[in-house]
Parts: sequence; C-alpha cells; structure tokens
Amino acid sequence: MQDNRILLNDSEKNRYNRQMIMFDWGEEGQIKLKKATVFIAGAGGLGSSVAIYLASAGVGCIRICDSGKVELSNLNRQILYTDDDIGKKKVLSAAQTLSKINPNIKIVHLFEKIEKGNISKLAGNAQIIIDCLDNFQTRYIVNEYAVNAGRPFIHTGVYGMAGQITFIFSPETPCLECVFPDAPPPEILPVVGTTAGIMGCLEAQETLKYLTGRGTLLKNRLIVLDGDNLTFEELHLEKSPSCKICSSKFN
Amino acid sequence: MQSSEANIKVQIKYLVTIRDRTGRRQEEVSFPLGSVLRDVAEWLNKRYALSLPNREIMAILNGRGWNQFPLKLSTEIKEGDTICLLPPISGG
Ligand SMILES: [Zn+2]
Repeated sequence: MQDNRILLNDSEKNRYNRQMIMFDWGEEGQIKLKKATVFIAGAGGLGSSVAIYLASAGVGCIRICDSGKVELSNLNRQILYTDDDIGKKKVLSAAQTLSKINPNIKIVHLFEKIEKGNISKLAGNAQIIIDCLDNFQTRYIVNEYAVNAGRPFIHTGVYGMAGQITFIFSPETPCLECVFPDAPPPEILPVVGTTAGIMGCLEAQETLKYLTGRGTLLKNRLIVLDGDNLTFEELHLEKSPSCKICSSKFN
Repeated sequence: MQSSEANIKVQIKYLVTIRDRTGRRQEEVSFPLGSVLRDVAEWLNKRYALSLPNREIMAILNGRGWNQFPLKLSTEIKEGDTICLLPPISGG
C-alpha cells in the first residue's frame, strides 16, 4: 500500500512526539497528516492562527491563498507577520515564516483573489477547505465549490469578541447558504486578535480531527463564541430543501 | 401577547451583541395560532427596535436562515420553534 511508502524520519518522530503519544494518533495518524493537503482561504487573523498550528502539527502540504499585502492595521491580529513585513505579499511572508516553523512541510502560496473561475485551481487537490475569509461574498464562492466538489469546508467568522464555527460537508450537513442566505453589508469589522486566535485554533483542531479520523466533527452544529461573557452557544443546524446551492444534492 | 388556548410558544435566543439590545439572552414568547415570521419580526421591532428584516441581524428559524423558507416572512411558526438572532460574525 502507498501508506507504507511515506515514513517519518527520526527528527519528525521527535518533533511530533507529544501528539503521537496520544491514544489513537501514533505513527499512523502522523503519516495521515504528512500525506494531507489543505487549502487555507485567507491569510489574515484566522489564517495566521490556522496556518501556524497546521504547519506545527505536520500537515504535509498547506495551500494558502490571499491577494492582500501586509498593512500596519493587520498586526493586532495577524500573528504571522511583523513590522518588517509591511508592504509584502501576505502569502509570501506567510510561506517564509511557516517554512521556518516547520521545514519538513510544503507550503504553496497563492497570491490571488478567490473567484468563481479560479477556486477549483486554487484549492487544487486539497482534502479540506478552511474558511479564513473576511466577507460572505467570497465565502459563498468557496461554499458552492465545496458543495459541488464534495469537499469538507470549515466555516468560521469573527466579529469583535465574537466568533462562529461549523463543519460543512454537504450533503451530510447544511451548506453555508442554508443557514446564512443573505450576506451582511460589507464593511470593516472590529476584530480582537485573541478572538481570531481562538476561532482559528478551533478550525485547525477540527482539521486535525478530520485528517486523522478522530473524534466527532462539528457537523450540523454552529458554535457561537461570546467572548465578552465567555460562553459558547450551540445551535442545531438544518439543511434547507429550497437552498439553491445544495438542495439538489439531497432532495 | 395575551394568553389564550389558541396560542403557541416559541423560544427566541439573542446571541452576543443582540443581547445588548434586548437585555436578555433568551425568552419564551406566545403568539396566536397561525402567526408567521413577520408577526415575530413586528413583535421584536416594537419591543426592541431591531428593524427586522435587517441585513445586519442574521435570523435563523430551527437551524435555517429565515429567507431559506420558500414563504420567507410569511412562514407559519409552530409550537416549540426556536428563533435565533445574531450579528453578522463575518470578519476574519
Ligand atoms: Zn445549502
């Protein structure tokens, strides 16, 4: 089997030891991560947190996409970047930092704006798509692609001290438009760095669970973080039989 | 709403910043049998001035967006329905 051809060297066994000694993870789980490819849509506050943890955990190939350059006003939350990176392409700077964090993995940096016409090419052979975007218009493009391509899509958003997350895997779960059919007006939203950090960590953890096949994924549930009161509210989600994106898949 | 035998009860949840406008996390509200989402919206607007339908408030009925129901605001509500209102948590 192909599984046996990808092995871990001694340095990797040492690097990942603390997670490999977990029950049900081991060398087998680590090799699953090494073989995996993920697509991180957006290299901002959420993307920083997701990318750092997935790189550290040993995900073999990270495709990270963003059309932005680093600005001073990013630095309260986009922890992949420093003052020295201002003006640089986010994905290029991200790739350099992530390669330093873990030189054993491959980083594919994609300096492009996500559109209907290029999403398939950008996502490539990624097994999972991770929403680190900052607007619903682009999320709808990624959601539709994920539904049609049959790929899992972790949706997350942040707002000030609040965050939300759900694991979308149509037709098993509702898609993003079943629950949020109307995009809110685009505007500059407040984001506290720690909120993006917390929500990005949850996305990264769901990704690790999916790739290693452990635990219960956040399917059909929306978790809403209220950081000001530090509560997590859970909403049960339902597929919409009239959803224009996904209903043909399960009706 | 006045109580009568022909009333139904629904749960309304106010998440994160919506709670600041309602002063509560959740409440059970009675509506006359046959009421629709528009009646709920009007009740909320009168009580909390939320201006529903409002693009800045995401409204979910039993796990689906209000506008995903073919009848939209004319969708009839039923005993035990759960309605959630939350701000657009759309940043990244
Ligand atoms: Zn849908």
